[in-house]
Amino acid sequence: MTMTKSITENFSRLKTQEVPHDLFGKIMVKIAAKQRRRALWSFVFSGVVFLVTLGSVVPVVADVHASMTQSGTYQFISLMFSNFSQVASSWQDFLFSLLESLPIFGIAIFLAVMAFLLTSLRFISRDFKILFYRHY
Amino acid sequence: MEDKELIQKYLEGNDEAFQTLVKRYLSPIYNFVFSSVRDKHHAEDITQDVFIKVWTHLKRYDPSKSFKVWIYTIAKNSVYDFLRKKKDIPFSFLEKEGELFDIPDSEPLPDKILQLSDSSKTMDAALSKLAIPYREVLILYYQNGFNFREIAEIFKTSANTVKSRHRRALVMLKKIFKKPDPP
Repeated sequence: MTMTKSITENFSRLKTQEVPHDLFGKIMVKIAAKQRRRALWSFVFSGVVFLVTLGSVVPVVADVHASMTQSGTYQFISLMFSNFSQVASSWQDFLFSLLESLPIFGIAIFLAVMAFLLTSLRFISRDFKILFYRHY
Repeated sequence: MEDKELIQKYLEGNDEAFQTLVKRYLSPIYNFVFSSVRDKHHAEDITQDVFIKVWTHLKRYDPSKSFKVWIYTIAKNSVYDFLRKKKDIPFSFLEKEGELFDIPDSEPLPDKILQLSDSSKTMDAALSKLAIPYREVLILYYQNGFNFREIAEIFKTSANTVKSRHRRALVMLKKIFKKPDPP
């Protein structure tokens, strides 16, 4: 018998301590409590972000709409439907004019607001499930 | 199912995968912690702490590394934190272990020392007399099946240091077994 084998055998003879029967439950309960606490903070934060972004949707959309009216974007779009053959014949100039008339900054703000809105909604939905439906 | 698959599943939202992982490691971690603190209540508290830390930091776990090594590293750190709070372990010990123990590495290895231990109780008593880092090296190597490189990862040291600590631990065990019991 090699030395390592002999030592290993001696170690295998060591009595294994029995795990307390409720230890697994205690661990899962503590983790669940920690998870709920974390979810609650996230829920509150996401809720605030959601409400703020939701409240800013209307003014942002109104601003984009006003800018598009002012810059003539709607006229370009309407021309596309009323006189398509003319638009098609000089589509490069038309496209350039259309892009030039778009309120890029306003649209960027609108997209950012939508991204925040949807992301916060996703977190709210996740945290809601943790807070009210998940049980260990 | 392998540990890494379970972690992946948990991170994708499967809670049962984490429970399986806890069930898989509960007994080994509890026993490892108990072998260091030798108190059931403390072992229970530290084990809970280990799994809560695992859950908290699971997203930071690097899947290219062994989960078993990772969780034992957390367990070892939790044990040391506990002992440090209790002031049971002199931490200069790890830095100056060579100075503290007058056991030359060249001493012949005890090939049959442990045959002297005729019962698990004797062995357990002998182990309890070893300093914690020595005891842990033996437990991790012989009971938990780690190799020297993995133990070195757990202790954040070199494999040679672990080998040396292992050899010294065996020599110390030999001395303990040879010592006659007081009348």
